[in-house]
Amino acid sequence: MGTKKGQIWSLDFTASVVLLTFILLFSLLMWNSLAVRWKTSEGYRQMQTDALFASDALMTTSGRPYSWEMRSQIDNNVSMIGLARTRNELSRMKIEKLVASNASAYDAVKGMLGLGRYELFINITSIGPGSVHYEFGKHAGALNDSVVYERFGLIEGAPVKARVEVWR
Amino acid sequence: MKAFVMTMDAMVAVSFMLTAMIMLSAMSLEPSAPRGAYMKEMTLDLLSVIEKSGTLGNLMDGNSTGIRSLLEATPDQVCMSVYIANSTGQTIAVIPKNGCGALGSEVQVASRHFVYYGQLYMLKAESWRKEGVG
Repeated sequence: MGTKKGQIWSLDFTASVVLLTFILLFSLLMWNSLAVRWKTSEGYRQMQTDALFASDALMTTSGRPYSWEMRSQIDNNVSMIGLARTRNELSRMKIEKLVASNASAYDAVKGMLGLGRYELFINITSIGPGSVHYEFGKHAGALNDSVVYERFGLIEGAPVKARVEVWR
Repeated sequence: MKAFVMTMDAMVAVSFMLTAMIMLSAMSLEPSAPRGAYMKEMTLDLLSVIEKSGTLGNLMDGNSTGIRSLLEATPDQVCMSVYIANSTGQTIAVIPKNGCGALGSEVQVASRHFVYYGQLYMLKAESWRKEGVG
């Protein structure tokens, strides 16, 4: 009788340990998965905010110094990049300087726009009739996380659309 | 019997915990875009472009082609409408983007005043997110 009682206790104990181990393992895995997802989500949200600020800087400010496009190159003396003369009124010279500096100053431009941690692609095209087509930066791959903001502007009075894509 | 009741109790507690964890795990963690800020900036962009491109003058002369092409160039998930009102507040022209129905839940509004042939008018744009797109 005593032996039988002992066996029941033993089975009971084993079952509870197995169940507890399962629950602990499951909780750990679940918690880990949630933590990864939260971190990814927060990182993506930050990228969205940074991309919006960058698109705003490009479309509404002139940069610093104001005539940064007149310099031979975009170097440490340029502290901000902006493409506008007044809000949304873009300067063709600034855009052309930016595009021409793609190979030499891509990283510097990203840094000035607060996008040092990401990659950047800017595409400016005409709305309606017109042949404006400027590109700066690197294209995102199909599998990259990316944020796209489309903004309106004008070049010499003609409406254009600027597509700012930030990706990682 | 006492032992059985305790086991049931434990089972119920464990089921609750597992259910809660599964629900938490299945919860959508889709990042929320700074949509309001983006829509506001787009609305201000639109007004600025309408004003500085001569499109506004064309609209006042009865030609809305320029504004329509601007509205159609906005992203698919964005709805916009442009209004012109006179100095008494009466709306005299409404140009909505094609395919957009009623106003959404979060509407961004921007406006500015202008003078045309000595009369004061208001140019207003509203934007909202199209339901069920993107």
